[in-house]
Amino acid sequence: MIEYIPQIPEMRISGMTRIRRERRLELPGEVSGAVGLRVGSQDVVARAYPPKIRRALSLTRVIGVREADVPKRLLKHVGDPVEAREIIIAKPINMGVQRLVYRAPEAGQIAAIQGSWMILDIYDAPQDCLALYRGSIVNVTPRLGAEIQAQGALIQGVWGSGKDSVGVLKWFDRSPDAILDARALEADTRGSILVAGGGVTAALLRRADELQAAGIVTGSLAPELRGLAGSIKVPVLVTEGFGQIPMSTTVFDLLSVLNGQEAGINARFEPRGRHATRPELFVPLAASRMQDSDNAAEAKRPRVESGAHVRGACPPYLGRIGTLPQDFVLQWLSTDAGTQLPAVEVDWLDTTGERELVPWTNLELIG
Amino acid sequence: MADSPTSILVADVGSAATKVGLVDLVSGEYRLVGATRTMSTVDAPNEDLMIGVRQGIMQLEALTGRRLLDAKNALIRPTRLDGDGSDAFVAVTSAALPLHAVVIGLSRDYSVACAGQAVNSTFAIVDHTIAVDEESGRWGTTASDGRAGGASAAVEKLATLKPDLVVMVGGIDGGAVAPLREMANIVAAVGAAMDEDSRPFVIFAGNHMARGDVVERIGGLMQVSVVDNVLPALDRANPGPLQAEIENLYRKRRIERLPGFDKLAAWAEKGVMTTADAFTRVTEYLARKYQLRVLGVDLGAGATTMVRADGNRTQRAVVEEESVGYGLDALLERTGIETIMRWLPTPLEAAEVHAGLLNQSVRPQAVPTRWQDTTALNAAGREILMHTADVWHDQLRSQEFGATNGHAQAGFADSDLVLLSGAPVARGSKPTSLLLMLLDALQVRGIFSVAADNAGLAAAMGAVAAVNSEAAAQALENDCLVTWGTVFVPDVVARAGEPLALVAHVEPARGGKLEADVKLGSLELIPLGEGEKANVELRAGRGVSWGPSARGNIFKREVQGGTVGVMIDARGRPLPMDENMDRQRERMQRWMWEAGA
Repeated sequence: MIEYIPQIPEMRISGMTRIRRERRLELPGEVSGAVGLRVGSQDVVARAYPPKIRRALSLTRVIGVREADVPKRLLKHVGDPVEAREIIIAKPINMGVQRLVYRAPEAGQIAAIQGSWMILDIYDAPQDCLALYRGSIVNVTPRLGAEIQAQGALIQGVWGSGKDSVGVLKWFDRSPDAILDARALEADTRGSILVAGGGVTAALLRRADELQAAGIVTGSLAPELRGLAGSIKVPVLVTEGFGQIPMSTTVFDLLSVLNGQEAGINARFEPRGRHATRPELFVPLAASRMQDSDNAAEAKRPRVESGAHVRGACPPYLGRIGTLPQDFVLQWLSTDAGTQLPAVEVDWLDTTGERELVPWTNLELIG
Repeated sequence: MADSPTSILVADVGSAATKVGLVDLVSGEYRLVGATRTMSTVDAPNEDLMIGVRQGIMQLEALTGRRLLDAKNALIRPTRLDGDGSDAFVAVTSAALPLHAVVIGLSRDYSVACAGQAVNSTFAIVDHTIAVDEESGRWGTTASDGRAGGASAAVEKLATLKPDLVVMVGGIDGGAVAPLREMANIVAAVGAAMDEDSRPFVIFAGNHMARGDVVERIGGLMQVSVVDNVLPALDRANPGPLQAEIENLYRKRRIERLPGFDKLAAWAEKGVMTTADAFTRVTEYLARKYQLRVLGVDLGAGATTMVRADGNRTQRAVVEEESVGYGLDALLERTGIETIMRWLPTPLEAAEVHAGLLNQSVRPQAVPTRWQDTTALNAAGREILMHTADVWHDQLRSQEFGATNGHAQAGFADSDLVLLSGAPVARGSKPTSLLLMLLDALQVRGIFSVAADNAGLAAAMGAVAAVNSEAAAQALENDCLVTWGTVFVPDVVARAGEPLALVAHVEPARGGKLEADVKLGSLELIPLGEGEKANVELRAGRGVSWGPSARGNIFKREVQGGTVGVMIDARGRPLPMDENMDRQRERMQRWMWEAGA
């Protein structure tokens, strides 16, 4: 028996929790929210103006002007907006009868000039940062974003394709291991977050993109579909892992209850570092109940204790849900290779009464 | 050494796991009296590496029955009369993310290649390179519209990236300065267009005559440091100063910004070393003490380190992008699953293996226990080792630009001791499986010993040496390193009709005799237990030799046994791989069977 039981990774899968999430622009811009402001999922909390193209060119080479002469030939300066075809720099030629000019290829702004080099930002549509989590702004980071506090159901996944969106959950009445195919999609898919069971097909990913689905939540994803999932506009969230893994019963059952509700899907995935983030689906508490629950205590992180829910994080337990039994203890387990690993008995919930000794590091705490 | 601490608490904070151990005097010798392994807590939701360190210490307390933390979770220091506490605390870490770099230089084949190799083999990843000589109009012809004098696509890519670091190189010392001024203008323009907070750090490692111009043009916008030219002459590379500066930057911008680092540093009086530096020290120590050429390999969850030390010279490559944890994703991107499948026996399925490796990359703390999962990870490990060896060799070659001393060709093939550390050992793969992985991936030949870092704390002993070198050496040899045995890899020239590569006579010191016929293209595993010695006589067949240093066809040596024993690898190098995947996997199955993997 090992007396001290260390922490294991946590995954938040909860029908009701209170969270704080920072919504942040990739580039500095304008923040439209203020502390205390209630925001809906689709409200814009910040807006940036990233360039479509960042044009970099040597003015010396473009019109043959010496570096020292660049300042006096410039008609525009750093920070100046330019219209399409507007002249940025001009040099007299042929005894001053004619001039050689460089015109802005499109509307934009001069971002920098250093020596003979100019960086010209070509305008693009503004980039909006949606609130995504319906709740209240509790903190603002000037020029970058806002922190939102929200209450509702939260399902974290293990992998996300990037991107985020808001939509209505569409749960297909299938089993947790069913593969969702394009044939199941109808014209009303637009704006829906599709809940697949065990997996999706390539055709489903493409069709969901065509029909402008708001997101896809799937138990697992075939490894060869990862590139496709990352290339479409629809955010894809994987709850269990890669391969053919049924969606865990806890996630599946929770999603079935939430069917038809508005949700925010944040499929951004950064496994390491200061901005490490797990992909997640958030279903805000109905507005009518929001007021009452504002005073609710901050949601607690799941704890290692008897009855705590755990999920297998490694084959052959991957995706299986179980509980830690009464008076569970950490004990040594010998593997086939002869290694001793700390392990704990788990009561699997998918097969009645099955108790199994599982390496502690191969479990994650859920709740 | 009257003032040296005798009980030393040691922590290795990795990207996925935190290892903690206690070194203390036991019957007059320093021993590792306990070691634990818990998950690292650097990233969200914990965002404090000290949580993992304290958990490791608490688990150690439970294992040893010795209190190491007080009621306020602070270290009990020094050791009390009742035995609780420790005298010193040392720490190493590999939990920080690498720096992302762009290399910009005058010549693709010289300065950019040389600097790229230098950057890639330390704590950074090169995301983009720009070389002037590729653009006939100098900076102009990679324009998207193809017109000379148009915008530069290469520079535009730099402007869209958000590197942590820009490495500027080019020109031999005393050469032309004008092209470097223009390069400085580009970097300055790109930096000026960025938000002030996200501007990269710039290291100039080019022609020393251009330093003033570069600093003048860039210094007002971005932080610049100047180091010795990475290529001072066309036949002489000098990557050391650039790498040292990158390591300095990595420490300041990555390690010291790890959440909880300040508390860890406050505990560790001698500072916190990088795991790679500490591992390098250990490799150098073994090379010096035993007069050996030592090859150290650390397959971490977040990075891979390869160090070769021979007492006079140390050469290291740290590959941050590919690893047996988080870096499996990058490995699969580079090689594809089929390349990894060639190292697997039948009947494993590609899709299942691919999924398993991706799952390990998103949950690197998990410890696979099924044979098929560890075998797939070891297959991936082979590719990572081969890539790291390439980076190591590239760096060696770049340092010896134009040199004709032949050292670059030799590389680490003549190593006497191979030391394996990292996640595969910690995960508990069979030693024979891991030894086969090493033999397949590294082109080490001749006769060498293999040892493994079973406690996962060998690197940390490099940091222990800073407070008590005797304790580090004894704990390392007594408890951290486990000898796997001795390996014979002869040079084999395959000839039709000569199936027998060599005959091995083994006489263990405990008595008895063993004879084995080793066929061409096969492996032979001869059991010889830990601490056992045996006289081995190898009679080489035709076309089999032990390299230029050993003449004659009979070779005799006393060898040491270990967890694995004595392995004879008569497959020849390079390994005979079959292009037909089915046959290759059958071959792999046979090799694994012969090696007991």
